[in-house]
Amino acid sequence: MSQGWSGQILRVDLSKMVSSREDVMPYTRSFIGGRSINVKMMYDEVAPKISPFDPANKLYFGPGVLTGTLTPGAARMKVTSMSPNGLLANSGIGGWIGREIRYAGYDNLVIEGKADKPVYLYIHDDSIEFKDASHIWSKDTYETQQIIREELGGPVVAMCIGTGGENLVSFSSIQTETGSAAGRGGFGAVMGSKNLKAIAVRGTKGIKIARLEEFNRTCAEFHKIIRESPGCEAMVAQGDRGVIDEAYNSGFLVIGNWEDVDWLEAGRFGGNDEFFDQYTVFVGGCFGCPSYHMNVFNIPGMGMGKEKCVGWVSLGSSVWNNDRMTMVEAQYLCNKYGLDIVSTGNIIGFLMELYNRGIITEKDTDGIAMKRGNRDAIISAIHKIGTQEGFGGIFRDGVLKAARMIGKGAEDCAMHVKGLEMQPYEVRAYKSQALTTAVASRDTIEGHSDIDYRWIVDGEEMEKWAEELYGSKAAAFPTSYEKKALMDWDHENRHAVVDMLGVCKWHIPWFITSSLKMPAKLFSLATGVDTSEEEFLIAAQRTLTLERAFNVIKGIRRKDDTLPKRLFETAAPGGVFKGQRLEKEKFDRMLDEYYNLRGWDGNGVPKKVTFEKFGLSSEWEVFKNLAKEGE
Amino acid sequence: MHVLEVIPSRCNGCGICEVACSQYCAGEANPEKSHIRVFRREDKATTFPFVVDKCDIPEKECPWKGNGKSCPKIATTLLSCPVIEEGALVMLCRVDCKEAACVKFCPMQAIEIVEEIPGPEKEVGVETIAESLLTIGRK
Repeated sequence: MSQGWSGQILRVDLSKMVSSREDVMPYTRSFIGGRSINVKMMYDEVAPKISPFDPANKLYFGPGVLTGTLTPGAARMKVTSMSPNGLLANSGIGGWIGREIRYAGYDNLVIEGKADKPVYLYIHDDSIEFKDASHIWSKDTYETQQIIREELGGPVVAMCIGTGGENLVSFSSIQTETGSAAGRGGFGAVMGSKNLKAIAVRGTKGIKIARLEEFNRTCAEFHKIIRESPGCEAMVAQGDRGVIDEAYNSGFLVIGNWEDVDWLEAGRFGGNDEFFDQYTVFVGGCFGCPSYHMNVFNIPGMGMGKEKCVGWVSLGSSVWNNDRMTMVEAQYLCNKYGLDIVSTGNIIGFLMELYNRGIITEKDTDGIAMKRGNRDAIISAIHKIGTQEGFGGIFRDGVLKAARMIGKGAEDCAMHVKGLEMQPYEVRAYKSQALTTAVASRDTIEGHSDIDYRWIVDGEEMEKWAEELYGSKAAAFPTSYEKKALMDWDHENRHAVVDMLGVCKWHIPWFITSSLKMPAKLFSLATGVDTSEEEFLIAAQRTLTLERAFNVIKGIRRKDDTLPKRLFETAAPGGVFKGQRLEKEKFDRMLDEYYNLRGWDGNGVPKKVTFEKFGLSSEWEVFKNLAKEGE
Repeated sequence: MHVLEVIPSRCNGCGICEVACSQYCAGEANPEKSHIRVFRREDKATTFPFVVDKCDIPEKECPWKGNGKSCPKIATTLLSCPVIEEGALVMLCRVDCKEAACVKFCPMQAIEIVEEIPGPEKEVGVETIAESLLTIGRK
């Protein structure tokens, strides 16, 4: 019986309707768990040349090694697959689903093939059932989970897709509970392409811990550290909307389609107001979270639902919306349709810009005026996209392809990176955020630092962190290009470690500590395999090398590691960093530094010596031939 | 053995108590082996913890099993040990546990140790329990 790890990978073939089990242990030495095992399996098993909706594409679900244990915030799971934009991407999901997979006895779950007709999967420990899903196909994600819970009974946890995923919308999510989702990356569509409506899990096997008493003591200590930290206090007091104030004051909040920075209305989104007093039922989080920060609302006529920080931006300031009720209604709708809130908000902001510039009129959007901040425009657009009716249809493949169809200069307004709608971060002043957004296999949230982002509000502390970690206070200054490549490289590595362990980024490396000492200790106690922080960081780089290698095979090179030209050509029109824009030359130098740290060549291609350094010689053999084809 | 007072209005359903209990008292991370379980329905505004005890409710009397739904193993405890008081449930956890880890790890202070074992159990009907399970809200 393995300790720490559950010991098994579950593989489900939807074409043949069979499942099988594999030993996870051969993967753990080099890839530890969670996201890293997902990535290694995908690199070995998925032919890069296939299309994302080919039955041969696979979905990898990887809760971390600590997911489901007493470790604070051990609720996370990473989903990895070929995204509808053709690239390898990861997307995280919280709630209770990751721990349930662990309790059922699995470290990773692989879904392959395609079912003949809609099905859902019921994993109950060793029993794997393929259940008919024709009665829940086309139901929204809330209703789907409710029906499944009633059908199966007991404390079953489910994740599912809505009509977004069924309609293969390229930015559709996999949803669990009312407000947790693997949103980015469009994996809902990959699930939809496999005719897989949902995965329901009930686990009763539990997780064995190698050195239990010490593990428990260390968990208690870590919970205490988090609970007593100022970061936790702020999260609990303000909820997710606290980050809005911070972002606005830091000139980091996107307004419109990256059109403004200091729209005054946005400044009042953050704090408490009557809306919260009236509708908040309680403030919750995911499993085991000491820094719970998500409001759960109960709104007459709309029901219960959970908010997330990104909803306040993507469906607030990004679409010039200052009405709380509209923000919450729009979040609910995205969650019910199973649409990524970030991409959906990006697209609505894009439409509003086109309308504002006269590139489109009401006639192009089924009679609805896409006026800035207009409630009808926001709500109707979500309905249209979620159902793929009317003008919603042109956005099925994302903002870039829609912009090309629209023409008339619309492409210049499509704010995307490698075809994926950008995360709503105002990165013109924030050079490190700009860099990591440009180079990441998915987008910035997978690896960005909070050091520069928190500099405006907590300057002294952040400068101290920057000096300790990167040898220069300059790393904390948003507008400086100095040490930014190093900071991004380091943070991406830390994020990758956290993704192996399945713990929440809001604690590490963000708001509580960037140190990996505590999770490394907990990992060693849980598994009985002593592993240092340094060893974790090597495993992280190994993972990031393979992620990049896959995407290089798909044709990604230096030319793609960039941002929309607006961010280079147009200066921030206001805010604390008025006048800031990205400077091409300096950005390029930063990119060179970053490639160098990663062991990639000047064109962003991992070198042979890098593969060898991380013990990936056999992976190199595969890579060297395929990468040429991708050129 | 602890007498626990559970304050449902404070619970946010995170479930750390389940894992704390199982890691301290059952030797592994496994809610199934925990003596406290959380009933969590985000979409129904209901989420609160219960001490789990041996189930001896006949199927036809159980609000869960009787409706063809599965038993979350919680109503039993309400029948066998709690006294429903104003906004709180007092329950007896019969496990010999020094730590009361569920209390220690709960970030919401939703579980507290009560000094004295409450008096004779009140008669509580199944309907009352079912109703309280589904309607206890925060406001």
